[in-house]
Amino acid sequence: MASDERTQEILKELREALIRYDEDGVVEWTKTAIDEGVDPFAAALEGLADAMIEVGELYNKRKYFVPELLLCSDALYAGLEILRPAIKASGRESEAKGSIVLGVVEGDVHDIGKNLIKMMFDVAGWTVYDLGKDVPLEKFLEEQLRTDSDIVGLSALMTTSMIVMPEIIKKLKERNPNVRIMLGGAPINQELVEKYGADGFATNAGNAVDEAMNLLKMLKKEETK
Amino acid sequence: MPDSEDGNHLVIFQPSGSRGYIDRGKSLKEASITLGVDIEGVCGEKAICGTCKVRIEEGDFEKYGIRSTRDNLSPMGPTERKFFNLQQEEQGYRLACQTKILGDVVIFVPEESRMGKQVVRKEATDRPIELKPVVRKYYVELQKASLDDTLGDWERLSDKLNKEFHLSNLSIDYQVLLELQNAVREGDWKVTASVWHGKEVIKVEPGRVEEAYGLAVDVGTSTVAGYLCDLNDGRVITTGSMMNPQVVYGEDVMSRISFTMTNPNGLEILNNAILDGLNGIAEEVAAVAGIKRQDIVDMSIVGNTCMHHIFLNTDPRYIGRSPFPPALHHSIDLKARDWGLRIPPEEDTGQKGGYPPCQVGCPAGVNGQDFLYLIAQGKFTEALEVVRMAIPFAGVLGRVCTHPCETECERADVDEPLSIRSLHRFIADHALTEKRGKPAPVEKTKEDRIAVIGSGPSGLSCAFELVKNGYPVTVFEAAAECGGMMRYGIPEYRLPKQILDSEISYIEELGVEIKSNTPVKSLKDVFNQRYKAIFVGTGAWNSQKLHIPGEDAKGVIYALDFLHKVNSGKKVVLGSKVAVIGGGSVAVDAARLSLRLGVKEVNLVCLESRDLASKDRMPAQDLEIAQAEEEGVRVHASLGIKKIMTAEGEITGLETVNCVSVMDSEGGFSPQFGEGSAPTIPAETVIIAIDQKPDEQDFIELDRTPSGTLTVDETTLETNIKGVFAGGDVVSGPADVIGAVSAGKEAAISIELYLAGMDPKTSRPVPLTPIEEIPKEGVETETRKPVPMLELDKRSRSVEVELGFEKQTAVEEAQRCLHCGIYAQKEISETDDARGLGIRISPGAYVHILPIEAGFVGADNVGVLIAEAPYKQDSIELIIDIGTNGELILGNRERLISASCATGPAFEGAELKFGMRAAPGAIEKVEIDPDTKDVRFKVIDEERWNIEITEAIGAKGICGSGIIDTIPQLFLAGIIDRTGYFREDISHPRLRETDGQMEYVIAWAKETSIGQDIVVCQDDIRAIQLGKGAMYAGSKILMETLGVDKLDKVILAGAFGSYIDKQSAAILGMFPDCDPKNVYSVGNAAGDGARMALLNGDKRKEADEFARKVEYIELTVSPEFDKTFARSMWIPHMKDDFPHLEALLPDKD
Repeated sequence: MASDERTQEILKELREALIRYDEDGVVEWTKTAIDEGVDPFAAALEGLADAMIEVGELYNKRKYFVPELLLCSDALYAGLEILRPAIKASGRESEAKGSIVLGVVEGDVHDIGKNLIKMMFDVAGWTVYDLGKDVPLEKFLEEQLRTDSDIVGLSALMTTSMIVMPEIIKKLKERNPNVRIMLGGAPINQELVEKYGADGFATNAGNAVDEAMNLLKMLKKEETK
Repeated sequence: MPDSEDGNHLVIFQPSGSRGYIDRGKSLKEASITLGVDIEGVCGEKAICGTCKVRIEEGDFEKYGIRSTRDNLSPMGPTERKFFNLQQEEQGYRLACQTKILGDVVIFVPEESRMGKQVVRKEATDRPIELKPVVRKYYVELQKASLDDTLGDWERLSDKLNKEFHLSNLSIDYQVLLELQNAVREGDWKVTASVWHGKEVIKVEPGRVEEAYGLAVDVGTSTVAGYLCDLNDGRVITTGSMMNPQVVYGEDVMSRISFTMTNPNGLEILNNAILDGLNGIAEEVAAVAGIKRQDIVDMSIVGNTCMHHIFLNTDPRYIGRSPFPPALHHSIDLKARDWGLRIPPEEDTGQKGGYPPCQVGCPAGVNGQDFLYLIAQGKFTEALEVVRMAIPFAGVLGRVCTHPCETECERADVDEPLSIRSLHRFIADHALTEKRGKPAPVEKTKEDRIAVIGSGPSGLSCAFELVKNGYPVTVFEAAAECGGMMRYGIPEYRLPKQILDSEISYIEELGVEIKSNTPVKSLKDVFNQRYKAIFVGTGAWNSQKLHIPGEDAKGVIYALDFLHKVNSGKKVVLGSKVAVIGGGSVAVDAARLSLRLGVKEVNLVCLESRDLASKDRMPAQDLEIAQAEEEGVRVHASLGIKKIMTAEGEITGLETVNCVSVMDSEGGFSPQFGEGSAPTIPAETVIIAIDQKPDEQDFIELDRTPSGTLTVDETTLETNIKGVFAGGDVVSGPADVIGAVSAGKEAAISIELYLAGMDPKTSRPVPLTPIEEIPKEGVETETRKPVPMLELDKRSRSVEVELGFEKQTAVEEAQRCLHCGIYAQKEISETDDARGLGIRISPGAYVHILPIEAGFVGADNVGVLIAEAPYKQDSIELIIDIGTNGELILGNRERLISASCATGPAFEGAELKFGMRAAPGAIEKVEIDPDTKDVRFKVIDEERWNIEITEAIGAKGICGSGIIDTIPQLFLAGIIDRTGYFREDISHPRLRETDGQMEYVIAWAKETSIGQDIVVCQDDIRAIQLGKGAMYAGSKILMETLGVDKLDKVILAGAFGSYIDKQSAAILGMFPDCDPKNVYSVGNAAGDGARMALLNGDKRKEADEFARKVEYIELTVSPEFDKTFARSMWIPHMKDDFPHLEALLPDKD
């Protein structure tokens, strides 16, 4: 069992490795944490998740951009991969904060933005059902019904593919009026969100972090109501 | 307010002063297009680029008599707001594309929003091109025609061309033929013929003409360049260029594709725009060269896939979405004059604004109005011909049809609908009274044989449609005689057999082969007999049981068996009292037939209500119920059957129960029974007529619904087996004849489309729509003519009850028609009318459009491909075609692969804070001193650096080559780091923070004509990183795919490629490391490829060959794409080494 001091040191190293997108460093310090008996839960939350929040802030300050986010993402998943069995063994898996169905709409194969959104939800403790790219309309409906997710996130990079969004939104709302729908992708703007009848949006792949955070806050507020 | 004329508002644009009335609700951008004011716009009016900033001028404008206020515009939304700071908002700035006109306004277009005349950088480069033109001119002297030699002009010319130049089997263009006689005589029998591909004479000129001209065109997303070439020596006589006129509808290809998807006629608008543009270029180059447009005898075109589709007038929507399949890969030659011509589909040429409601109401689409008109004119034979265009069964349906047409008849609003059914019968009967000549068999023009299984109304109608269209059709019938339910299910007193026989022979006479006594058990056998498609119309013959006690008693029979036996002439023994169970037509027929067989007491018992206005009404038709009752059938409605009572094995009667409701609120069958006493119905024989189903033992390979009917696509009637279609009762369950006829017709349409390799769903004709408004004022009442009936006491088993109209009555009844069709609006759209003018070069000339490689690797890239011919090289070459979309080709003679990467419009200056296209005033060259961190720059059209001149240099913004210089310069000067981030440890007067991000000032406000500092900000750098990262990542993935780790040669193509500083591009990391000596800018190679294809027919073959050989790689499918892309965004790259840039690049850390 590591001392408090040692625990704090390990968590700090872990955060720093992730923030400088040092995948090897993250792997190394995660292993150290487990070897030295640091609570895997703390390593995930106070180590990796906290670091990702900082990464998000760096992005907002425009210091980090898509490449850095993608690298942080790789490092994050490398660390989580190691922690997962330990968390499971501890039997203290936290309850998911919410669940979201994510996918790039049919006709579109650009999924970097969606992947970044997915990462942010993962790190924030959500259950993410990732449908991938070029996802047929029916698939969103089925997956939402199957998983009873709170939110469906639709992403499109091309103006020619975003045109299918209103139909998906209409059908989703018809089947489940309570589901909330987020749009994402370069061509999306507030007016389109309203026109299409969605509830919120992420402006583009780059803004994913910011918008994911906003969404979290928005939902939190509603939870506490 | 003094505004408004019919919802129009006066809009005045300053400083140009252009003004005009614009519809309320249009955007300022739309108004600017209408009024010919050029406002910048890059994103297709989606509030992304922010380049269409305008300012509203407020106040009273006496001169125009208006008051302009911002209240006369739609309010500003949040997306629009983010483009303005508070000061600009107060000054009244708006985005023209987002602002809707709600009143009169005066709008000022600031300098930076005005569209400058683009500098089109598409000069032809100096490449040796082997000369093998496709069009050649031949001078011949013909023997003058005389009485001894009366050979035709064309034969005279072609014989001579054959004799002198060995041009055999020539054909002549029709338009050229029209002018041939004049040309021959004008030239005193000496002419010059232009021959295309040694095959077709496309121009004949009097006398000797040596000059031959061709036009090679590169249609770019932003610019169009045309090279007028001399086909005799290959030189470029002159180059003409212009902005692509489609630019106003969206800057990048995606916004143009969405324009075609969201605007009716969007494709036509874009097609017309480019057509006008090409004609403009042809006009311009011809004028400069001092020739006529008609002297241009050949033309070649390259363009990206989107341009390609739009100029072919093919729908680009499918290339806008994954998996991006093009309409056509191969090159195509089309007559210049046919360019964009779309012959309107047949249904469009008629009455566009709808069809008579009776025709729309008829499931088989019988043109009621036309045949009624002909009857009214006494032209009965012609009337029958009209009906037979739609159906073969005028006589049958004239008797048994459920006539949905009459339900739709507009005359009902005046008095009563026309008796359309009886008039069908009249003309059919009339034809029988005349000696009918046999129709000539329809010539079999098609080879694909079609099998129809079942000779009922659906099968025969399907066969009828197909045989009319030239197909060999065979009908297989299991029974001894044809007609299915029409023969065996309908009693003679309603439908005499001779009527049916006559109409079936008519179908046979047209050429349908009918094989009776030939049951078909396996569809596979049919296909094995070389039938290409099958229609299954085997009906629903299995009677359904009631499942009540006593049903197995002797004396219980089923209606269809009963009708079948009687119709086949077999004897059926009935008791003296018959009870029929069921409320449909079959039950009524069974009841009436029982009477005719001598039964004294016939009771009809049904669940449904006798109240014909009720939702639970009997399904049989009003008239037949009335006739049955008239004849003595007793109807006991609203009763369910509890059991069939028997005594000693003999039926004694029916025990019933009250039925209070049949249908539930949604129309589903859900009978509810009530309390209270219900009558006992006496009976010795019980005929059950409740429902029939298809035989489920038939065709087990076909999917079925739970109720046993076949499962088909509801539009195409296609079954689960390809090439097998089905319709009629076998699909719908028991239904009316007209429904089956309609199904047969629809199946025939599907079969034809299927055999032609087209999609039966999307290619079929659209359903007819009815005319909306039919005026009825002044129509005088004229009641419907009753159909005469046989007197009650004369009715018998085989004599028809209905007697049909007399000639005079028929004519009078037909004259009641309101002729609704005349109220259909005949609109032939203006665009259709104006089309067909095509490209106005030599009328017989062809346009050759180069092939495309894959989704986004278009004919422009094929142009690059044949110009650079990497397939003839040993060294590994990377060809980068830079534009809004980047296209990459990698390889050598062994193997070539290509990819497309979305670089975004940033390289062309769009979406940057001060980005602009390459136009005068654009900063195109930038140098930053690493020590002082100070800058110098050049603008387009000015040779000197800004620091070398004292007068205002008037910079307006930064264009693509300027930004590609700036970022490596910022990096080398240590102002930004490898990740592209402005370093925080530096301060400099040119470095500052604005709106939360760092920026570097390139030009101070005083050096500009826009009165603001021109800067490069963090977001600009990010936009360029995305674009260059995509390009680098694409190159890397191609290199991995090809298995090479270094590049021998890098070729930068694209009009703007030649303006990029090669070293800047290398340091920025637009491509992996390569020796700078082997990096070439080749300029507009796509245009060069177009010229090569124009001047050398072999190059056209090469293009077709290699366009297919180049393997297309979809980058986003690569599992490592994200990582490769991320690493490629750094400057020049996160991991890769650049041995050739070692001296220039700082150390990595």
